[in-house]
Order: sequence, then C-alpha cells, then structure tokens
Amino acid sequence: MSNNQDDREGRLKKKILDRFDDETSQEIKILKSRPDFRPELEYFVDLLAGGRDPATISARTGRPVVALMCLQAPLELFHVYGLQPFKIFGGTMVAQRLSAPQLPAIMCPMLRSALGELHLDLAGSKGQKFLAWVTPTTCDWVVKIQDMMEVCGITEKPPFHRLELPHLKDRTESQDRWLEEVYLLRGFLSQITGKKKIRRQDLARSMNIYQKSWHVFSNLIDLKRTGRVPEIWFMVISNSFFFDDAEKWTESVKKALPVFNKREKALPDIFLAGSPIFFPNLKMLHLLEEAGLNVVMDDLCSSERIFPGAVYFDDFSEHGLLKALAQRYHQGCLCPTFSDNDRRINNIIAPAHKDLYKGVVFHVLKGCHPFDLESLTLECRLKDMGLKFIKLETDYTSEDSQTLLTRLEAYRNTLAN
Amino acid sequence: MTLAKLRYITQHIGFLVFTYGGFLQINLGQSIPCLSCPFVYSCTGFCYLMMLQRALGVLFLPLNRAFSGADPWSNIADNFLSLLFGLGIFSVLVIVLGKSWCGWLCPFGLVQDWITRLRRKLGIRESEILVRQKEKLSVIKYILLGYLFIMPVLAGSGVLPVDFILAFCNICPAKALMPLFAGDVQYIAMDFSTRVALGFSLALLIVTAAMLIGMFFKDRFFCLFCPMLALMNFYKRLYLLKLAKEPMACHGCGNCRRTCSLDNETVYRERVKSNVYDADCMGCFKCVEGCAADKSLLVKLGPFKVFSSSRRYAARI
Amino acid sequence: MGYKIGLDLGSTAIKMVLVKNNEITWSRKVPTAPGQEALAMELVKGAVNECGLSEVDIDHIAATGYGKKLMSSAGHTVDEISANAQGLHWLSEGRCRTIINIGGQDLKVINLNEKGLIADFKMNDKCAAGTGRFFEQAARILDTPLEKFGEMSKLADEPLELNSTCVVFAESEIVSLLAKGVPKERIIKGLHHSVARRITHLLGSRNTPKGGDIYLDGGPSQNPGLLEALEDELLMEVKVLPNPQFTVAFGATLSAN
Repeated sequence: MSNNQDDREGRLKKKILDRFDDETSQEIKILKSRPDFRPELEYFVDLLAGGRDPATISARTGRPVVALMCLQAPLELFHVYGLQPFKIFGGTMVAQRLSAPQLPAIMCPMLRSALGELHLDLAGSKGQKFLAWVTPTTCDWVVKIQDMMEVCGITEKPPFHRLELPHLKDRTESQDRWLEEVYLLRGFLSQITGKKKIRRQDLARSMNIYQKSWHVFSNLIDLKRTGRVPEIWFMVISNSFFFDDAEKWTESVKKALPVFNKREKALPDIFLAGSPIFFPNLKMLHLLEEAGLNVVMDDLCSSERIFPGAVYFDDFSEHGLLKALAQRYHQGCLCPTFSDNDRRINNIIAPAHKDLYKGVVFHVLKGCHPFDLESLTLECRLKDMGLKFIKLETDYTSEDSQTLLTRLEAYRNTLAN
Repeated sequence: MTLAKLRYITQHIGFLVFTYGGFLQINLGQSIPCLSCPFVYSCTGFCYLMMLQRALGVLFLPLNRAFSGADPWSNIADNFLSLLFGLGIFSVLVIVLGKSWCGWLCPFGLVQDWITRLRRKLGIRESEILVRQKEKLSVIKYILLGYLFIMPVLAGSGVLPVDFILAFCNICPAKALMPLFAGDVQYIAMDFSTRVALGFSLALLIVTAAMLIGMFFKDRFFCLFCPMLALMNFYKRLYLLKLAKEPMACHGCGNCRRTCSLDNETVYRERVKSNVYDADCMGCFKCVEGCAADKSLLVKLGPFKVFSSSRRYAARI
Repeated sequence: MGYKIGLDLGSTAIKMVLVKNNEITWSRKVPTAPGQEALAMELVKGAVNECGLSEVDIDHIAATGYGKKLMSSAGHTVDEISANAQGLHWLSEGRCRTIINIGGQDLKVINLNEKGLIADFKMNDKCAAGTGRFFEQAARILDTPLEKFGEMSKLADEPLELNSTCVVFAESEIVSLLAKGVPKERIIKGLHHSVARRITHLLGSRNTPKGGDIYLDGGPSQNPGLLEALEDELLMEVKVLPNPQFTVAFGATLSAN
C-alpha cells in the first residue's frame, strides 16, 4: 500500500517536473525570440533558465545559499557573512498542483507555487540544500510558511529563523524593536556560519557593493521612466538578481543599459502596482504589451522594490551600520502589510501629480489580501483626482487571459479619454 | 562634486578666513553670525554674540554713570545707533543665508565635525543616551540666550562687575579652543587677576572639558547649546535659503533623520507642511543629500530651487 | 456601397448587424459553436443574399467579442466594452450614462461621460452568477422557456429569497424548492431579484450614476421581469433598447470611424 503510494507520488513528481521544465523553457523561448532581444540580455535569461535550486546558485556564487521569504532582512548582512540570500518566489503554474491539495482553496498562488517547487525537491535535486531559512513576518501566508511547508510534506528542514516585523513602522519603539531583530539575525548568521566576528570595514564594503547595485539598477529605472525599457525585460533583470553574485549581476546590468536606447512606440504610460510577478509567469506583462500599455513605473517587490533604495550611512561604527540597515529596510519598505502605510499610497499617487503616468493597473493575485484591501483606498484616491484605475484579479492560470485582455483594451481606450 | 564635498570646502574656507584672515588685514566687521571668535587675535570678523553683549553693556552704562553723578546722556545716541547698525548687518547676513552659517561656515562647527570624523575613524558609535536627551538639552540654548542678554545689562548698569559684560564669551568653549589654532594658549590658563576672573576661567575650563567629551560622543554637541542658533531662530520666517519638503514624495526611509548631526526629527516626521526648517537645524542640508526620494526635499533660495533630492543622487557611492 | 458589418462573437451567441449610414438594416444571431469564423462568414453571406447585395458593397467588417481574434477577414477589431459604449451612446442619442450589460458569461457595468467615452467600467470575476448562462441553467431546471420568464414572474406576488446566485448551488436549491412544491412563478421572481441584487452590488456607490440614463443591455435585458426587479433593487428607472442584443455589434461598426 505505502509502496503504491510512494510510486504514485514519484510518478506525479516526475510528470510535474517535466511540465515544469516545459513551462520554463517555453517562456525562455518566447523571451529569446522577441524582436527586442539582445545578446546583452542573454545573461539574465540564462540565469532564470539555469534553475533556482541551491546547488546551482551556490556553485555559481561560491557561497552557501540562505532562503529568504521577504525583503526586510538586510541583504548586506548575508553578504558579509559570505552567504548568498535567495528570495523565494514561485513562478510556475504547474508546481501548484503538488501543494494545492494540502492548502486552503483561496491562498496566495505565488506561495502555493513556491511550495510546490520546493516540494518538487528541485531544491534538493542536486544534493545541496538551503543552509538556512530566514522569514520576516510580513503577510499571513509568509507568517505561516513553516506550517505550510510541513503540511505540504516538505521534508527539508534547514535551521529556521523568523524576524518579527513591527507593523507600525513610524513608531520609535517599533524601530528600536526592529534593530533588535537585526542584531538577532546577525547572531543567527554568525551561528550558522561559525563566524564569531565580522569587521565593520567588511560590512561597510558589503553595503557599498549593494549600494553600487542599486545605483546601476537606478539608472535602469530612470530609463524605464522614459519608456525605453519594456517591463518584461525589466522584470527579467530584476527577477534574476538573487540568482548570481551581486557584483556580477551589477556589471551585467551596466552592460545592458545601452540596449535600451530608444522608445519603441508612443503608448500610454501606466503605473503597475500590486502583487509581485515572477518568471516564468509573465502572463500579466504579456497582456499589458498586447493591450498596448507601457509600464513606466511599478512598485512590485519582485521588480523595482527588490532593493530598499539608497542606504545613507555616515556612522561607521558597527552599531551605526546595523542601525542604518535596520532603518532602511524597515522604515523605507513599501510593503502593503504595514499598518501605517499612507506613504505607500503616496508613492503611487505622487508621480501622478507630476504627470509621469496616465493610469494605474493594479495586479492582485487571488488570495493576496493586503494588496486587495489596499486597492480600495487607492482606487478612491486616484478616482477623486480624476485618474484612471483598474484592478485585475488573477490566479496562476492562463485561462483568464482573454477576459483580462478585454479589460485592458477597454482600459487603454479610457486612458485616451 | 557632491554637496557634502562642497560644504566641507566652504567650512574650511570659513575656518581659514575667520581664523587667519586677520594676518591679511581683512576685516569683516563685528556682526558675523557664526562663532568667529574675537579672542583669536588673527580673526577676521567678530562673532555677533560678543558685539551684542558689548553693545548692551555700553547702552546701559548711563545708568552706571548716573549713579556716580556724571552726565548720563553723553554718547547714548551713538551707542544706540551702533547697536542698531550691528544688528542691521547681522540681520541681513542671517536673512540671506539662514542658519547655513552654522552648517557651512562656522569655524567652531568645523572643529566639532573634525572631532566627529575622528570618532568615526575609530569606529566608536554615537552616544544614544545623548541623542535621546537632545530635546531637553536643546532648551538650554534659550536659557543661555537670556543669560547673554541680562548679564551685560546688569554689568553695564553697575550691578555686576564689568567682567559680566562678556558673560557668555567667558564661558564659551570657542574662547578656549579657537585661539589655540592661532597658537594662543592664554585662555586655557587660569586667570588669577580677580576673583571674578578666576571664577570665569575655571568655569570656562570645566565647560570646555565637558563640551569636548560631549562633542566626541555626539555630533555637533555644542550646537545644542549655542545661543547663536537660538538668536537666529527669531528670523525663521525671513530666511532666503530654505529647506522645504514635499511630503507626498517621501517614503519615510529615515535617511534624513539618521544623517542629521543634530538628530532633528521634523524633516522625517512631517507629513503635511512644506516648511521643515527645524529650530535646531543648522542648514547643512545633509538630509537633502541623503534623501532617497525624488524631489522630496528641496533647498530653495527665495523662490528658486537650488538643489533637490533624488533617488540617483542618494545612490552615489 | 456604404455598407458595414458588425460582428459580435460572444460566448453564447454570434450577433451580426448590417449597417448603412449608421442605421441597422439587417441583424441576426446564431448560437456560438466551434468554427466561429465559418459561422460568422455564413451570417455575412446570408445578409448579402437576403438584402440583394454583393460582396463589394461591404466596405468594412468590424469584429468584437471574445472571438474577435478568430476573424481573419475583419477590417478591424475592438474590445466589446468600448463597442458597447459607442453603440449605446449612439442609439440612446447621447442620453446614456450607465450601461449594465448582461452577457452570456459575464456582467459589465460601464460609465460614460457626456461625450460617450468610457469614464470607468467594472466586470464580474470569473463567475457565471447573474449572467445569461445563469438564466439558461435556471430555465433548464425549471423546464420553462426563457421567453416566458417575464410574464411568469409578473404572476407571483412575493419574490422568494434565494440563498445563492452561484450557478451550481442555485441549481440544487431550485430543485429542492420545486420538490417542496413552491410555485415556479415565485422561484423565477426570486431569481430575477437575486440577479438584480448582484448587479446593484457590482454598481456599488461609486458607479451609480448621478445623472443621465441607465440602460440595461445584452440578451437577458429583453426579460421584463428582470428589468422590473432591477428597477426595484436600484430604486431608479432603467431603460432598454428595442434590440439590446445587437448594441455591441452595432457599436463595433461605429468604432471603424
């Protein structure tokens, strides 16, 4: 009986693994056959095509890989301990089939897919596992990730570290609390690596490395603001950030910048807000292109928000550096799970005052409640300003493409009005 | 050229000119709105605080003379005019540059910045205890300003000994430290000439020592107490060089607060108003440089934008 | 010369209009089936023959609806929301500010400005509740042709509270109500009210018009029972065009200008 069960599971995994490869390679093919594909972009596409298992990434970067659930844990801290942080995103539709039966019907499809991918044992297929697992407590799904891993039967159990994220980021007490958490994270990293001490000069160097990455990425953002970077390429570049060493990635972005030298068409500019989008599920971006909408700004945590932004520091003591990191990754974070979050809404609305875009497309993954709720506030404020807003709710499935496209086309027509 | 480098240069120019300009026979008058200490014998212009104390003392001399039977009204008009004249020049200088005198030119401010640099080189953190007491400590400068007004009046009227005309200068750490740069050590020596002088020289040493410790553990520690800053605050509506915020563009990242030498929270906290020129602000505009949001913080000269924050500028290495 | 064809390839029916000088001269609909382009071309041929025209008289074919991409012979395609807006704006002579369109598988609310341009729109999400499909399903279970729904619901005095608008759950609910011997008239009236409530929710406060007329559009709007229920729920007058199922196809021809 149990043998049969094992056999069935094995066959299911095999089947889904095949489809998983299909789904990935199909998207790669689409990307590489685009007329605006250039050799400079190959690096990023290949990173995504090369797989996301710790073995591959560890071999590429020469560092043990730590899984990261959300972006509030300072990346620089991992770097200085000789670790490669890897933000867990789920992008394949088919992987959900391995986790869906065990999970609630309405839940974040991104994490359902991520759990499926982990379950596929992609993570362990080459023998190497995540060295550890770090989770800032953001949304409900992320908070419960360890339980869900258990429910899904993911047997790989690396050391698990949670960072309690204070959801009121404007309070001094919360900010102090988060600084404590960053100190605790440092302790955890020191424990798993066995490195008792880090030199403050090394930490400052790591911070400069990420600052450099942000600087170059910022140049790319500026190009995007002028409509020269198709959102698909922007997403490919940002999605691939965690797949390689930050410095190598930065060099490649620098080389890719000249590719985006002209604006292809004069299409209406929009702001893309809402739930993250991750390779290979670039459905929404393809539809936006098909509907003739040009994304010049976004606030997705898989795209423009993968970096917290510039970390200004002038106190070079270890405490000063850690404080700078803690504050930047917490207070400056525009994740919708924070409670005092008017600045997140402002971030979307302020550029409209300067006429930088014509309307907002709000992408909500079914079950992604923080974004869904927030869209109501945003819709009211935008419409009161006379701006166009459309919310598109979707799932990890391609069957709603047609209805989404219809809406986007009609939305595009309203932008001209 | 970044704003920080430019500021570092102007601070040094300010230091050199105010401290050594006297060798070149430069005279910039007696109404300088920064601590260009007159006790430095090669100084170029006098810190207005000294001028103010002296003018107040002189203005009230008639009372003193009246007690001793002399004609109380001789020179009164002259004295009053010279007070007004000094105040006029001071006002113009403050109105044009605002408190940027402190952040960009003040020689004593630069000395504090040197000490901070030394601390950072050593990797010693800024004292959180001092930072958290900042709100309470910064009230002292208004008390000192009151002291600075009352003592010369009392001394001029003869109630207090004449040493009290320069009551503030006598305990100002700049008087002890700045002359050292001209090779003059007399003000850190004890003055045994009179009991009052002895008292003042002792007080000066204690204050200076305390300030040096404070300045080592906290950026711009003395500025919290500086009556010049308090005096300049009376002009706050008139500054031409201003700091403005566009609260809608702010992401609340906290770079501005962290980089502020005086640990002001106003720039970070403000969500509605445009004017964020805090009472303790020294107009250095480091916050504008550190601000990672496009056009969230602005430096304005009158109606013109001189410099605005940007994502790209903040990301420079 | 001067004829235009508007094709609306919907999820349940293909609607076609022949238009000259912005007047509908011929219209017909057929149920959607595999091979939509062939079906549509047959309709075109039918129109040409019946009106005594030849292919050269047709200046332009405009396609809209979910199947619009399948029409290789179309001169241009337009999304059905924009087509609906243009069609109703023209046919209501500019009085329409709000369109409630009940399609085969979706429900749309479109707000227009004075110029007839779309100000805002909303669509229901991947659910057949309150759509044409829901009525078809109900008609099958009740064993009553859809055309009779209007007059039958008039006969009922009190509408029945139905618990679910979901196609699947409503089915079992109707079956059990029938088994209890509840008269069909009351069930039908109840259905109309539950759909009307759903539409009212979709409209929300933001999309409820402050002025101008509300039009109910699409196939199911020919059902007077539904219209009555909707006016009752919305507390507003709702208008219907004479041939509401052809508005979108007609609008597609307008968008060719």
